[in-house]
Amino acid sequence: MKTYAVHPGFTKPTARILKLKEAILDTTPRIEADRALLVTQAYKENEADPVVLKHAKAFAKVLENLPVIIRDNELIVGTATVASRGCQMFPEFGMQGLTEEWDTVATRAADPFQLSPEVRSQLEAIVPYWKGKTTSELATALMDEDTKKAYAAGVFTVGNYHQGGIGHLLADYEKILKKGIRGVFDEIITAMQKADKKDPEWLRKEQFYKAALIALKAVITFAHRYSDKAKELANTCPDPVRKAELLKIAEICSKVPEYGATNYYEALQSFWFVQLTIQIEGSGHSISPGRFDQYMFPFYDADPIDQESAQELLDALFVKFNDLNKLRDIATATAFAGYQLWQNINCGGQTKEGRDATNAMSYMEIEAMAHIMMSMPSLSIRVWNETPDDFLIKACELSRCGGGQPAFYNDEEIIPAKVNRGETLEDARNYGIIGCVEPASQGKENSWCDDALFNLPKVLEIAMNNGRLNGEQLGPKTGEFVDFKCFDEFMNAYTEQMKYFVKLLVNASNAVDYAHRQYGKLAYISCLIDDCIGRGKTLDEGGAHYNFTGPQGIGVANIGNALYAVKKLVFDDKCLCLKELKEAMDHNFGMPEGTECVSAVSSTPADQAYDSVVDAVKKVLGEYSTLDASKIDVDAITSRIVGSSSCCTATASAPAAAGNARYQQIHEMIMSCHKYGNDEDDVDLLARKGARVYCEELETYPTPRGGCFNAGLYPVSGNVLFGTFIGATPDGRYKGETIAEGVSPTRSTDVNGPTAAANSVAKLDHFIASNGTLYNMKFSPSAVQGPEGVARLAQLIRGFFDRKGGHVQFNVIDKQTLLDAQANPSAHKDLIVRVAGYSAQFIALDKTVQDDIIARTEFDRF
Amino acid sequence: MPNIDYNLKGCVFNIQRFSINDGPGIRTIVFLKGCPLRCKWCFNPESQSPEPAQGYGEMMTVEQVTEEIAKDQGHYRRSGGGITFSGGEALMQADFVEQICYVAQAHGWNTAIETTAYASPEAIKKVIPLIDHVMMDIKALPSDLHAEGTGVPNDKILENALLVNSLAKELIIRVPVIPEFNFSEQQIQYICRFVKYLDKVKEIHLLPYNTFGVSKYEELGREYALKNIQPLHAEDLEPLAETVRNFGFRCKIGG
Repeated sequence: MKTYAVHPGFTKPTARILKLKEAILDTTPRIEADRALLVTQAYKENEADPVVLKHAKAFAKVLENLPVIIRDNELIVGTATVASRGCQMFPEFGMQGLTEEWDTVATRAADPFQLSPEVRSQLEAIVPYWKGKTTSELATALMDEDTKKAYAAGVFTVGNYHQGGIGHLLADYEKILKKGIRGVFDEIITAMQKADKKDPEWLRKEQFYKAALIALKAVITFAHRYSDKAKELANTCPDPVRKAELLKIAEICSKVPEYGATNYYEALQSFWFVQLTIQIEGSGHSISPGRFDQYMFPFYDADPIDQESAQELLDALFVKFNDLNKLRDIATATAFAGYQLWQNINCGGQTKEGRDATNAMSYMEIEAMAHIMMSMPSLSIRVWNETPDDFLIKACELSRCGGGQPAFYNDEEIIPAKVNRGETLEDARNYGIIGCVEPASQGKENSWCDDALFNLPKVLEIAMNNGRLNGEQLGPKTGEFVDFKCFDEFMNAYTEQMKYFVKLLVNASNAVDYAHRQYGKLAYISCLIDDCIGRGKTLDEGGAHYNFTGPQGIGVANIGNALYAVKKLVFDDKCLCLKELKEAMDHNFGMPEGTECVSAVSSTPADQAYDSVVDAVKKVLGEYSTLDASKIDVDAITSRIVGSSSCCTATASAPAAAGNARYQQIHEMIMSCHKYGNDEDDVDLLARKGARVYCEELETYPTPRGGCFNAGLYPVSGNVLFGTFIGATPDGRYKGETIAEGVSPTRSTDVNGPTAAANSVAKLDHFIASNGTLYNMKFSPSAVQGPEGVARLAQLIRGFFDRKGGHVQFNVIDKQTLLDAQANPSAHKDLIVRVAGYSAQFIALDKTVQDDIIARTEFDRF
Repeated sequence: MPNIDYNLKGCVFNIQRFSINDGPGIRTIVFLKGCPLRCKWCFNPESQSPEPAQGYGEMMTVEQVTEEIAKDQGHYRRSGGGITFSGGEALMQADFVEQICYVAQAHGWNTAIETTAYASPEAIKKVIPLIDHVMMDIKALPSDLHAEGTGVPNDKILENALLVNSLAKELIIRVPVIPEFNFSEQQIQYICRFVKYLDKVKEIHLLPYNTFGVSKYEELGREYALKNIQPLHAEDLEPLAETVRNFGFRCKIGG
């Protein structure tokens, strides 16, 4: 068996890889219309067909006609757009906000895209056709009014699948690599032959099978078009070396993915065609390769290719992930910033049989990440007790390079958590990571794992207002805050409100789910997830072996700190009464109106950040005309509280109101309470309880596709936006201030160092948050220097995972570099940071998100 | 093993977790208050007086201290780390340190100490055999120079060095390198020549002078003696490290 000789540090990438990388970074993302026009045309030609067939025909039309582009220096070919990093549109899922952003999409702060007048007029022309036919419109129609109110007030958002496709899948790539698409044909034909034709369901199944055959055949055609194109380019290529490469490409594309791959190069190309075409079929993101080292290694192992050449091919593939892009509306782009598709590639862990799975390809994935240092793919390292130390240390060396990669996952926690959700031990052991941090059994699960973001502190705020939301009674009456006689009464109110708003969240999620079942049937990807073919159902109809819906709770730290402050100051020490506390919060802890509360790290005026947040908020509110936008937490927005509150200056025109001194004093009392993140049981266990209330309530709901709701605790970067919706909270957080991300402590409150912070995080119940938790730690390079520094990082991971933490990732970048990049974006194009479950180009992030990253506690002094 | 006195109190001025530069693995440092030396460059001046004063220092029991240390036991287990006693001069509270060491033994934690060795032979005999990893300072060989920089002559320290050497399992010598004091080839050579007599020592650490403590002097209302001296950087010490290596020791710059 091929092994990998480990050396300290990383080798240099080849000149070709650097050129491929530059070509992508030097291109400004733009919108292209080909796909949208072809899909629209196909739908018009097949109006009477059932959706699944209509969509397959549209997919085929796209693959038969999409421009075929082989870029300079490429070894792995296949792209969705003429220009690098361009995006196609998916009008059948909605216009991704473009209809409101024709004029601003190229200039907006978060993820701008160029839009030529020609493409604009082409796209404008198809908008009327899609009116009333998209999943997003149907989903909105299905939601009940209370749900819409809670959605608009920022209690939760289901925007991800509401505005686009589902995605979030770990396909069975191995099947295509081994058997080729022709193997899947056989599988479908067998299923058709075996099917009970008397079953009335047969009619529906047959449509899916027919659609699947059309879609699969189109993928072969697409590859053949690449083969032809490579031949054509070879004919006119003056450079004999490149000519030979092109002829090789032509040969490979004539064979895969139609047939099983016979060597490593073919396997890589076959993989890429699958990865690409899934993302042409639907607009869902987080199409994650998952356990790439497991299905790719046998091809590498059996191939006489040397390690250097194999590495270059792998590097070329890794660069290629960055060729794809997607347009999102401004609100989503602000929350999920960084031109990300969350194509998450994994390595390490254990086999289905429970043996260590680390192989040479696992190490080569780490090496490839170090070679390319780009924002995609995301690399996830699975760690268990038998993970080789040199592998973990190699991964920590990559962490130290500062790209925010990789992330580390704990098999010892995740596998039992998956088993607890009803998976077999083998399937649980075969989990891969999707998107940010979500574990799913590869090739068998439709986990709908980025269903929603849920604003935990907002629920606490509603519980403090007896169920009122923006002055209106939306939640149940659970008692006025000032009347609570003991802490348990407050906790009960929080729990009751949680139950109610979780119910509304489920209503929103299911509305989106039914809309996709109606309009979003995707035949091709359904062939790559077991057991859709066997059941004769698409993914949207519940064809997958395992089905979940996974909404994320955000603000765990705020909940823990808030509950504790109330318990400690009001009920234990009795040094504060609820009335006073409520008043102090209603007066934003004495922060005078008009106060500029500027983030300690923000060196520029808050205005720019403020404007983009308001834009984003307006966009979210704009969804629902039934609501008066002026009622909705406008104060939170207009107070211009951006970022951390460590530097506040009253403007001269706004004298402090009477009582402010007392409010400020109350704030000081709150801030001197124990905070989550310092290894103090009293507060940490309340954070655990506060998060569990959410997770426990969710898991009682079944999903429309079978299976149950499955909570996660990770933020993407929605914590910044969600903060703007919430007034002052008992954890000392000011009105509008960012809430804590993932399961990380509130920034700058974890002051006992990384082990204390990690211990606090590990006290949460990661098992019940089985859709994934996210813990972000930031180190400056000086804190992890030398071989000892890397070893400590590895030991810290092991120690955290011993305590059953689920995930940890590191940002190893010094603050000054980040501040420089804010001031001088053009000089820092290559600066990649970990945002939340993914890495992004720092300069492409919204200012508020940048500030948040800078302010996260930096462990430097050790 | 003797019964452990969990109620014995000592004066602690800080407990710092995730220390990774003071002994093997991930460690927790217990800073004990009180020091017989008055080094001009001391960056923990708040640690010098032996009682709680000016908001620094707290009387804690062995139980309280070890509870705090136990919080990171999972990390010690994984990294081979444990507890490091620092100061002040930890040997000034030898009984307290001894009891904590017994608790450490009961848990299997690694133990380390940073010491000036300016202590009684009894204290040294009590503590050093319980320590896995001893880090002892030698600041200068000429006694008058030593007295000028630290307030005490060094005869007791050098004598104790031999005792520590005979008792320690593992001994590292650390030299704070201070401009206008011992930042010279000659002074480092003197130290190395002496350390050659300590057969347990395989490694010497040179610690570049830093000014981290300056603001604390202001806070304590004290004058900082080395105001005009600029901090040293690792690269400034490279030639001296070479000198140390030529004596056959491993040398690390920084702790």
